[in-house]
Amino acid sequence: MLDYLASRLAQLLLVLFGVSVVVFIAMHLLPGDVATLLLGDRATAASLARLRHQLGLDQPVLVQYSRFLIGALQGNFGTSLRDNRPAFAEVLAAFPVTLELTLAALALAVAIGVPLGVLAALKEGTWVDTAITTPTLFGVSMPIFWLGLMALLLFSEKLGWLPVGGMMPVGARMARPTGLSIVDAAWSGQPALVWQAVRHLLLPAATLATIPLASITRITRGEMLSSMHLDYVRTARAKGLPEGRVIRAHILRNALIPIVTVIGLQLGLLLSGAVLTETIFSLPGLGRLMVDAILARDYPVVQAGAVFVAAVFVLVNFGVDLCYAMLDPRIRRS
Amino acid sequence: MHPTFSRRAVVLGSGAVLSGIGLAARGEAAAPPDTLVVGIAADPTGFDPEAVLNNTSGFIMATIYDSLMRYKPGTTDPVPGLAQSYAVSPDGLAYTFTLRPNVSFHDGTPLNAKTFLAGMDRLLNKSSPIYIFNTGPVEGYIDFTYGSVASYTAKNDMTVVYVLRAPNAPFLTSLAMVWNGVVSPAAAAKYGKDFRQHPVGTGPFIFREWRPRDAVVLDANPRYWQGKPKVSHLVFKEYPDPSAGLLALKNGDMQIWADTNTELLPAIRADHNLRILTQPGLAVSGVGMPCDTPPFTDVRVRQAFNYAVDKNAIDKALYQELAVPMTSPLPASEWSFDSSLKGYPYDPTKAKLLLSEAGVKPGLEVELLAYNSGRGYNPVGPDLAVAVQGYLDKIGVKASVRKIEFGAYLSTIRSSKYKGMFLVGWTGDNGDPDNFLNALFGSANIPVTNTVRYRNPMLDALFIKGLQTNSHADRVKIYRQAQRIILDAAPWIFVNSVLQVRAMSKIVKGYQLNPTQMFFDMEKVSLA
Repeated sequence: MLDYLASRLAQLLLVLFGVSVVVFIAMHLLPGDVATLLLGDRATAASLARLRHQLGLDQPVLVQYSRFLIGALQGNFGTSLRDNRPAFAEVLAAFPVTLELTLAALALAVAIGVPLGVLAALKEGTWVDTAITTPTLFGVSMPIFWLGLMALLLFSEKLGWLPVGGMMPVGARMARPTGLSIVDAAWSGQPALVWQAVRHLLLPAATLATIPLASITRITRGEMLSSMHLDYVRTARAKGLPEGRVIRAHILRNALIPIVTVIGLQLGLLLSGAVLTETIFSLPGLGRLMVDAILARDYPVVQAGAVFVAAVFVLVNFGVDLCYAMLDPRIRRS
Repeated sequence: MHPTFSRRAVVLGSGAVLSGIGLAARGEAAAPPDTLVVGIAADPTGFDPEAVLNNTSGFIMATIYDSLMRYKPGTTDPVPGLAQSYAVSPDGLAYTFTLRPNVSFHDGTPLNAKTFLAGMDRLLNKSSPIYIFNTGPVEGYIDFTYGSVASYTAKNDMTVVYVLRAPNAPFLTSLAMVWNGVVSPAAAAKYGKDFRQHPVGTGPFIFREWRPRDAVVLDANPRYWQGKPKVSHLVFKEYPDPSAGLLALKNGDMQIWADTNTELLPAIRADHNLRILTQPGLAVSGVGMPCDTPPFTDVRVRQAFNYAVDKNAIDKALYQELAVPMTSPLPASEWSFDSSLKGYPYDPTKAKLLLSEAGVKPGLEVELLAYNSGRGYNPVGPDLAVAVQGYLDKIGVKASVRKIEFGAYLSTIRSSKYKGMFLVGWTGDNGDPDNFLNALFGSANIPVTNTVRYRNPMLDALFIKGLQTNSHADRVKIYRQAQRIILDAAPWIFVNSVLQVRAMSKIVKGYQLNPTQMFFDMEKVSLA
C-alpha cells in the first residue's frame, strides 16, 4: 500500500511539473502583453517599460520560469499582476465557491441519476424507460448557458421564486470563514441565511447538474442492463433472494465501477471550474477566476490555478481508484 | 416483481416540490430598501486611485475618495473639491490651494496640509515610507498629473502650494480626476501594499468589504462634508452575464446598471419600471491614416475617405443610434467643442472627385488593421472596420481588414513603420481639450498617441499656447482654432463619438451622468 501511495505521489508531482511547464509556455505564446493590457491606449514606452520591470516581465522567460518554480516549491506562486494579491490565495478563495457548486450539482446528479438509471433499466422498453432516457438525451446535449438563462427567466423573472445570481442576498451580513455559503450561514447561527444560501445555490446547481445527471442516468441504465441478465444474477434469483436484494447487492453493485468512474470524471471536470454556470449565475468561483486571469494575461494566477486544478484532478482520480478497491475485492487483492 | 409507478404520481410529485420552493421563497426582498445596488460587468482590481487604472475600480473609488478639485456635476468643468478655494499665479506656475476645514478621512485622520503633503510624498518622494512604487505595480496617472510639478509645500496648516516647471493649464482638471483621489496617509502606512484592498478616503461612502468577483460593499459616511448620503449602503454587484444583469435590473436586485449592455436596450425600453439615461461621452472613434505614407500624404485623399463614409448610417446600423457622427475632432461633451463645425457629410461623388484630383486610380489597395474586440470608445470593435471597408469599396478603394489582438494592434500602429490604415479611438482622461487634440495630433506625441504621425508646426504652437494660457475664454478660442485645422487636415476618418448609456430603475432619484462615467456625487442619490 505504501508503494502504491508513493507511486501516486510521484505521479502527482510529475503531473504538476508538466502542467506548470505547459501552462507557462502557453501563456507566453499567447499574443498580447499584460503591461499593454493594463495601461491601455495611453501607455508610453517609458511607462510600459517601468511596469514590465515592476512585474518582472523584462526578464528572460527561463529566468521567469525558474523564479516561479523556486517560489512554487516554497508554496509561493507570486502575486496577481492585476490586483497585487497573492495568486494562490486568490485560487484558494475562489475554490470553495466552485466546490460547493460542484458538490451540490453532483449530489443532485447522483441522487436523481442513479435511481432513474436503475428504474429505466428495470422498466426497459416501457413508457417509464422512454420518459427517462429521452430527456437524458437532451440533458447531455443541452448548452449550459441556454439552459441557465431559461432557468433564470422561468424561476427568477416569471415566477419570482429564486434569486438571479450571487451566493447570498446583497444585504446579508455574516463572517465567511470557509467560503462555503451554506456552511458559513449555518456557522453564523442565522437559519434564515442558511435558507437563503440554499435558494441561491439551487438554480446554478440544478443547471450544472444536467449534464452529469444525464450521463449518470444513461451509464447506470446501460450497466444495469448489461449486468442483470448475467448468470450470477440468475443464480441469485434461483436461490430465492428477494428482488430488492438482487438489484442492490448483485446488479447495482457490479454495475457501480463504471458509474463511479463517470462520477469521478465529472467531479474532476466540475471542480476545474464551471465557467459558464458561474458566469450566468454571477458566482465568484474558480472557473471565472481562471478565465479572467487568462484574458488579463495574469500569469501567476493562471499558473497557481492550473497547478491547483491538476492536483485536484489527480487526487480525485486517486479517490476513484480507492473506491474501485472498496467496490471490487479483486482490485483490492491485486 | 417490478415496482409500478403511476404517471400521475410522478407529475404531481414534481409539481409539489417546485411549488413548495416557490411558496416558501416568494415575497422575500432582494436587498434592504436603504441599499442602492449598482451592477458592474467586471471585477475591480483594487482601490488605490494612483495605482490602479480601470473603469470598474474608478466607479467605486469615485464614491470613496474626493480629489482636491472636482467636476461640476454633469460636466468636465473643474471646481473646488477638497480645496475650498484656489489661486493661480499670473505666470501660471504657482497653484495655491486652501484646504476645506473640518474634513476627516474615514479612519479619523484629519485633512490638513501635513496629511495632504504626506499623500503627495507617497506619490513623488522615493524616501517616503509609504512610497507607492514600493507597494506593487503602479498603473495610474502620477506622471500625467504631476510630471510638471517642481515642488509642493505647505504655506500654513491648511494651505498647500504647487510650483510647476512650466505652465500647464490642464493641471486643475487633472486634479479632479478620480485617479487623483486623496488617500489617508495613516491608512496607507497601516496597510502597506494591502492598501489597495483597504481604501480610506474622505468620500461619501466608507469601504466595508470586497468579495472578489462578487460585490463591493460600502456604508454611508455620516460625516461627509457635502452632507450624509441619502442611502445607508451602496453595493457594487458583479453581473458578468448581460442577460442576468438585465434580469437583476428588472427584478429589482439592482437599481443602476453601470455597464449597461446596449444590445439589450429594446428590452429595457419595454419595461415601464426602467429608464435609460444618455449623455455625450468623452470618447472619439474613427479610422487613422498614416500621414507620412503615400497616398495619405495628400490631404485630398484623406478628405476623400472622410466624405466616402456615411457616419449616420453606421451609427444607426451598428451603434443603435447610441453614437453621434463626429463633426469636430473633439466630442460634444468637451467644453471647447465647436458646434459650428459640420464635419464631413456623406458625399461619395465628392470623394471620387478628390481622389481623381489627387491622382489616385480606382483599385487602390490598402490594409485596414482592426483590434479584435470592442473598446469603450468603439463597442462594436472590428465591425466598424468592415463597415468602412464597404464604403471605401464604393469609391474604388479595396481595403482588406485584418483583425488582431489589442496588444499586438497597439504595437503595430506605434511602430512608426506601419503603412496601412487602422481603427483608432480615444477616451479622455481629464476632460481637457489638450488631452484630446494635443494627445492625438500633436507631433510631440508621435507615435504613442498620435499614431497617425500627423505633424503641423502651427498646430503644435497652438497647443503650447493652450497649455500656457489660464484664461478659460482664451483657451476656448485656441482649441476651436485647433479643431478647424485638424478637421481640414483629416488625419482620421472622423467616424463617431459614442454616447454614455446607463439603465436604471425609476425608483432611483438624484442620479446624474457625467462625461467621465464615474460615480461622482452619489451622496445625492436616493431610492423613492
